Amino acid sequence: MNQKRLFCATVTGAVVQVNYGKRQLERVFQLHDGKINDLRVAEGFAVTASDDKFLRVWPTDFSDFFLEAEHESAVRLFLFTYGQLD
Amino acid sequence: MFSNCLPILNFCFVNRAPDGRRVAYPVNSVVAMHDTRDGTQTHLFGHTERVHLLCFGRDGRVLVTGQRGRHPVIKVWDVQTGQCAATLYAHASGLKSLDVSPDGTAVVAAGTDTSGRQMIAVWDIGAVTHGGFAPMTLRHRTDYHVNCVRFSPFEEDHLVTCGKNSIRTYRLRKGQLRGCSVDLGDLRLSKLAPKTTQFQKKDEFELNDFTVVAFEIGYGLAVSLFLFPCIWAIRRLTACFVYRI
Repeated sequence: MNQKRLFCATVTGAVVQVNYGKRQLERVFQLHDGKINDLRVAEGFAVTASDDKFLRVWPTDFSDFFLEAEHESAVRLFLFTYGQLD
Repeated sequence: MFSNCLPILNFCFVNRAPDGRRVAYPVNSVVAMHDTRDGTQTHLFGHTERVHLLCFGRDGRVLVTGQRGRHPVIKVWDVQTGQCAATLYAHASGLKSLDVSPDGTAVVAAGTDTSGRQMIAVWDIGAVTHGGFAPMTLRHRTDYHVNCVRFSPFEEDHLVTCGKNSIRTYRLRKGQLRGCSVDLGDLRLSKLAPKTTQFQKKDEFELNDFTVVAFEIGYGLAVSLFLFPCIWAIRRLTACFVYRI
């Protein structure tokens, strides 16, 4: 259980990494310049959507984003789907 | 097929069932459920206010929706038939977040009670798809602020909540919730935020205000390289975009 991690996004554009078993804060990543509206973590990558108009895809260590997309206004939420669009 | 349904998705809050076939989105107080394979649509009537929360159970059999405003109701829909299987009610206002448990037998919702205190309620929905009732398992009032509540995919009967100055895990046992806070130490996120950060309210800046919880092991979806992950992003007010990653 001490290997499990959970992530919380914040209004200051940061994401904190929490050790689930120990209930301890492990790391803080400053990722955006505005409130983060949605965050999802999948196997191998994480996605954030923010009031700063950016949608970004990250590795789960949040070292640098893989790709980003700038929208015309705040990005509210997003979803993953798997499989081709039919 | 998707070009047909994209203009409708403009309305916001899309939620896709894990079987990947259905998209549900609210249009004011009506929830529309769109089957992406055969293009059929089902409209779910019954809410009395604007719907702002949607969550599919992970096997895609039930859809749970929540509405805004005072005395919000939560409705559990049988996805196959499009019928309302149960109506859940516990909060006085301010429904913030809801989630379905990984095994699909429980619903949790966070909101406020009549005196404005934060309240977490859990229902057992295990029997609703075969005509049973959905009894409330517990109602828990807390002084910790809640923005988001999720069932933990790591442990059975555990919840995680986050809000202003708090990240908490709860254990559900014998009709009670036992909470445990994550030690935030002397965390001051406002010190880390870049100067260019724009905040709507001053107090948001001062508090460590957590908006969303995410777990490292996604939602238990089996992902393989043969599947193509896509991201659907909803912009404020108008548009939905789909990205292939």
